[in-house]
Amino acid sequence: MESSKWTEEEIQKQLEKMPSVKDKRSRELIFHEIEGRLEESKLSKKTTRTWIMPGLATACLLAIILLLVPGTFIKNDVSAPSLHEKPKNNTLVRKEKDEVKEPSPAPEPKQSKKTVRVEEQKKPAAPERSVKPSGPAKPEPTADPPVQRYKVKVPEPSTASIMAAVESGKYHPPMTKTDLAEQMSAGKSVVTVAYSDEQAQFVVPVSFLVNGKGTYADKVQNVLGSFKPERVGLQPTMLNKAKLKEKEGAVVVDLPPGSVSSAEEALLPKILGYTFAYNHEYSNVKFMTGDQPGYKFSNLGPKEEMDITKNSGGANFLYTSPSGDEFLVDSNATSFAGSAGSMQAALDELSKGYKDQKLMPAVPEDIKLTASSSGALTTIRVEGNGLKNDEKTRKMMDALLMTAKNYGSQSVSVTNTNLEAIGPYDLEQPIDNLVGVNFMVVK
Amino acid sequence: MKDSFDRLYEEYHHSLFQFIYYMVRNREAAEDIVQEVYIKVLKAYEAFEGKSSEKTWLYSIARHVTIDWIRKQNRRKKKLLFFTLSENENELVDQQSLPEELVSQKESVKELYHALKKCTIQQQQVLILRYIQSLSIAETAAVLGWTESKVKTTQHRAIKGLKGLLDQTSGLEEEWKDGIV
Repeated sequence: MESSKWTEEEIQKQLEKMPSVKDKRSRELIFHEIEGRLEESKLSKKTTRTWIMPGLATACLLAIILLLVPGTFIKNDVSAPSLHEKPKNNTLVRKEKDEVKEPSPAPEPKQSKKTVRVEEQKKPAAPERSVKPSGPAKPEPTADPPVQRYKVKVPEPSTASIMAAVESGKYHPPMTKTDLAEQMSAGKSVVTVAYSDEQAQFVVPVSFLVNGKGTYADKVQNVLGSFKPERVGLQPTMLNKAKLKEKEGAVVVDLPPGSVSSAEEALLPKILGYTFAYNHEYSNVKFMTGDQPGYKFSNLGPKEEMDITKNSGGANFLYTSPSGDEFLVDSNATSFAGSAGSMQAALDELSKGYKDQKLMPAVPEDIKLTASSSGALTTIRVEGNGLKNDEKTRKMMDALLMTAKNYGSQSVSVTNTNLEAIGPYDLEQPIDNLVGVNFMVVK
Repeated sequence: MKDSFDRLYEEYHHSLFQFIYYMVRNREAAEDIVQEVYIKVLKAYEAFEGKSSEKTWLYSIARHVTIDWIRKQNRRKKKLLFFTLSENENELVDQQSLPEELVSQKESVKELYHALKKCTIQQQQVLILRYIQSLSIAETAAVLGWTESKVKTTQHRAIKGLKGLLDQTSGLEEEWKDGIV
């Protein structure tokens, strides 16, 4: 065996040169997650309070058991004389016992035991305990108090990270320009792809940060091939069956014959518009069917191309998909509503929504919004009480900013909120347009 | 809160993340832990008296949260072994341990990275803080709450230990080449 190539000096030098490992998330995303966790910890404090009652119940149960079980021994020892009286009048003794121990002992412990078991299952370590039915799992909580104290969401190497992504990513906010600049400097770009809701009533645009070069059409094709919208409660569209390529400044959508359902057809311009013109990449789509020009739609008839520039806009609402993920949806992305005629009209719509179609207002009903514009700057005055810098108000801000963007605003000044900041937005200065929408953080 | 976060992020985020990453060797875990550190820091920010430097205070919090995580993982591993779940599950961390940044590095760097993991937690902390994070002896002592001489001793032993580990690895490689193993 030869001697080592390493000397102590070399080790020290090499340690100093170890590669730098960087956090790939944006600052805003990290801050957003921290805010979410802080709120979570507030909630968990509240839930710990709910332990008081089960705790008391458990204590009572233990007291009752102590009274009942060892009580008989105590009686054997201490009040021995009464034992001699027992045979004389058994029923009387029973009555006396009943008077002393008012709560009927039999049913109560059963109920309490049940609640104790249920509470045990609710503890943070529950998943592990569910795998391991009994015994050694029970002493763990006392042996491991920090977990309960901090309620730290401890990531388990691989599976838990997926869980964390799902748990923390229920709302998918748009991105600020500053964040985008940071991402772009890291070689990333934004791709937005439209998916549809379960009932195919509207499209939900979803934005992604992607690496690499290639045309926008190539990037969309990559996203379509790798992201499963069902994971977040959305439905794929005909684009998932199409081949895409860029040709002479337009995007070519090559569809297999019969791949577009009539329900999808109603949303066709919106699916194409939100996918290929949302970030102003293309203005025209050319259809092909297996390398032949044109596609024969069942309702629209044969079509060789489509203008896709006028298919976005309107007021923004919140849609909660069956998976519980929340998305912002434009009124113009629906098959049942269009864009309001002016920004003020759209702002008025924000607090109404289309509740029957599951598009909920992101702005509370008692908030009144008034818009005024000066060049590309829009000022939105907020009238109403009770705004807090929390998740709910952040969603309201996103809906408001996205709506203003849809009406040509470049930056928005939000006034009269009595808040310095909401989520990532500093209210003391105009906020630049947001980029993309419903960003999907794929870990 | 946002302002404080922005400033801390600007000045320390990458160093803190790197320290945590080298300790836990799992990106998702490091992301979660660094967030937990910010939460603790932001909650305690008002109470920070400035008796120590902000940098060592932050590292000290990061170290505590990271060590808590490592202990929790170790307990979890023991539990998994107790309940005879497959060994593979326990090895998830190690399987994922080579970061992208290291994939393209020389074999010797990878060897060192793996050997570092085999040192004791105390030695790892000292080596990471001293060499990868370039903290001074005094700063490292402040972060770890040790005396400077303890830092020096641990550092000396850690380097010796690493050399021993790397010697073994090199020996094994030679044996593989010779077809002995």
